[in-house]
Amino acid sequence: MPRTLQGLPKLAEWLGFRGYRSSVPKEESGDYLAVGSENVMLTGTRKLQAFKGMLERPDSDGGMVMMNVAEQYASIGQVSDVTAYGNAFNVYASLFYIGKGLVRLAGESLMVTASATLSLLIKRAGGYTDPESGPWQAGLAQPSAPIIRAITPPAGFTGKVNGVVSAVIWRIRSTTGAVSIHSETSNIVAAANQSIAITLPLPDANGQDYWGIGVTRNAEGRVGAHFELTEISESEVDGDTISRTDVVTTAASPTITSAAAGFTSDHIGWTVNLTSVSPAFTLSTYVIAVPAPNTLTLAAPVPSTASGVSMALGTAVEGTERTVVIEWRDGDLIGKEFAPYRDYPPPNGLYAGAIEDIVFVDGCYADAESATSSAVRGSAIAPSEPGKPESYSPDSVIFTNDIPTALLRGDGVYWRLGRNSCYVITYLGGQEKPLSVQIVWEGLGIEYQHQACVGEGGRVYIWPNERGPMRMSGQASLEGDFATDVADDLALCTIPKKRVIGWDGKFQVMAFCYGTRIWPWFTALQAWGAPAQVAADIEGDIVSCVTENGILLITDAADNLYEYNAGNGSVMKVRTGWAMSNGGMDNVALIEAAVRSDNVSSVIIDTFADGDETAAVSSMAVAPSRTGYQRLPAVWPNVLDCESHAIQITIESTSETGDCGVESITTYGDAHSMIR
Amino acid sequence: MTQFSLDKALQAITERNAEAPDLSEGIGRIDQNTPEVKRRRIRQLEAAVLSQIEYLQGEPESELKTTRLNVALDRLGELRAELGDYEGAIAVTVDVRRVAEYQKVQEAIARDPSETCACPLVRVVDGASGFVTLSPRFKAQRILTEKGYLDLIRCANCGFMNAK
Repeated sequence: MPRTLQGLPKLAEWLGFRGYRSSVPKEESGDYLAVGSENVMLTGTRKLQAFKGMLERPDSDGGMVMMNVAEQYASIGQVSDVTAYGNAFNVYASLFYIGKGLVRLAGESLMVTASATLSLLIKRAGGYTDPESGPWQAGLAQPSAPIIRAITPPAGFTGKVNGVVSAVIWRIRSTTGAVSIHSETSNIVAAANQSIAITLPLPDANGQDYWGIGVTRNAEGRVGAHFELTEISESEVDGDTISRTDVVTTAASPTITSAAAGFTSDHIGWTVNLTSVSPAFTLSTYVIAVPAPNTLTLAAPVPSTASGVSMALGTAVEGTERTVVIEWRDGDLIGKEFAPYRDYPPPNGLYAGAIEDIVFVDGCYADAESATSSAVRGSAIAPSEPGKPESYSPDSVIFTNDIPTALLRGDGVYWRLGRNSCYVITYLGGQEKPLSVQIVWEGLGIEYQHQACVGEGGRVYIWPNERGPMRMSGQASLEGDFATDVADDLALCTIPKKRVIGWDGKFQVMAFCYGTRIWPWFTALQAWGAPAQVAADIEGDIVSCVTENGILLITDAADNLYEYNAGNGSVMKVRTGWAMSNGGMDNVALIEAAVRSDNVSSVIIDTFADGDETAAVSSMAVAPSRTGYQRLPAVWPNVLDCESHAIQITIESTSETGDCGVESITTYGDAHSMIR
Repeated sequence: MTQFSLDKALQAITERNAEAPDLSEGIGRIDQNTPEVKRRRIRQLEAAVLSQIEYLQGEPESELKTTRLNVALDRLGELRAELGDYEGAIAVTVDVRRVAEYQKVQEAIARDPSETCACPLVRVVDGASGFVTLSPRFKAQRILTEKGYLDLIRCANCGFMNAK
């Protein structure tokens, strides 16, 4: 039996809303949110909930493109530069980055700019702004050859080297294990039960902190291969300095004394630089003996008798600075690797990523003449050597037919998107071919990095230039049917660079952003919420998104950063679809609505008639009597003779944690059979 | 609508590509040490450093800015030296030890290639081939110059350097 209220029959009832639909036929009835609805999220089993608004993170900035790094997020490029792109990711204790624009981590500038050169900052004392952090360019340059000498074994050495030998060296960055290719071969020396003093060049200006030393087997110095022998820290090579200003000298004597003790046999071989003011003289020599803790014997006699002479004592071997002593037997080289020869720096590129023990640079080898850049973009992928993120052999490049426009880290894979394709990069392991690069689809792609995102279960979503939103199906093909409900809305979003998508793991929402509006796709409910209107919350348009620990972060056109659906509420509008009169026309006499309110401010109930979505024919305010779930006092719009009608409830939520939504809307009145 | 499983999707990709030829790895070696390739690469690195310097110069004064600027200038000098532009390297380098090294190399390049030091050859016993004569002068580095690659010859005894 039809329900009546105050003697009036029910005209229409909406409850159990099935999400927002902008492209549904106007005369199709159903419990959906129609065009005009705003700021409606879905929870539970499609319960309507007011969008909470945007919560600004006042001390953090966003960026043009953003991505996860460890438990934080990084951004590349200030929003003023729409051409910014790139990736940032963690490798060992360092942050690698490539692309174009200012690099920020967790919203704070690292004072480095990304370029087409893979670069890195080393984490020290919990941050990336230590003076020793860099920035450094990935890969180390070949050093010049060392100089070697056969010497009498100093203390701690036994003289293991016999015959002609030579050495090579290479640079090492200990924090990433980066090595350069080895140097040219040193001079060749002949040793007879001696040790070898090896003098090293200056370290590079690119973050090197260790040296690798490779040697031939004994007596193979002219023809033998060089094997890795040892690694020595640059601080050890650079050594210490001792300064004194109390030195007493005697003319023509090699012996000098200092008022302070502290000299030991460790100082034998160290360089000595003496400077006397009166009488004036200088002398550069080295220590050959330490007869007493306050006395040194020098290799050369001092020219004058003086006191108060200044002395600088520096680490050296037989007076040669930047020198260390090594020795080896042939047996020490058994099982040792050849000195590095495949460790070239990476080529320039557009994007980069890390997967298992491989780092790869994508978009390399653009042009035979011009440098790779945002304008000159390559298509090859250069993988690093396994476990060596800064070593790239030039003969293990992977060629593709597409230039990347985004490189997204998925669940154990990378999705590589271009204007016309999507590839998946997976890890194979092995020295010869560590990566697999497979085509996923062709014919559709994206232009801007923020047009793609990885969502639930590692699924790829894209919002390409020419079509509506698409996503990867279970069979890894493209499907777009999930977005047909909002096709009419999204068809108006015609500027590709404004199409931004982001994943909210907390609400399981894929957020499709355009300008100041956000259409939420609830992946678990397979339904759309009504678009959030955030113009009042942000400055300018939305430019990028990132997910940080499940929370969707959104950057606006002023580099401000916001948490999605975490503010203090919004003005929610729930508009019903059109209810067609069962007769000819309806007289909408009474509207009854059930809501959940987090405040007692007035709720506006608008009535629309005869398919006109632009202007309400009745607008009435009614105040909730309390917060929480309730049926609002009925309103009596008394709209006469409408062929169809729709109702809109406008309710403002005012708290982050409050519960605010619309449960049901019912209209009552009589129908008659007159028609226009 | 389909439920999404990444494993199934990856399996589908693999099956679909099973009959198609896999993307091949490069088989041609791209020698990074030919003068042209090396110059191009260093110029790319140089451009990256210059953009970092330009950015830093626009930042307010701070200790970090000074540190980063010095790092970038030393790196710029190093790259210019690798390009053979020692004059340019000396002009920007902050570290005085590097400046001294660049000056020595610059002098070596300017020397007559036939000029050498007086340090004598040494005749020694080589286990493999009997008596051999060893020179204290050896190729320490291949350096890029305007003339292409030159060998930087260094004397292990006296430090004399020449380029030829």
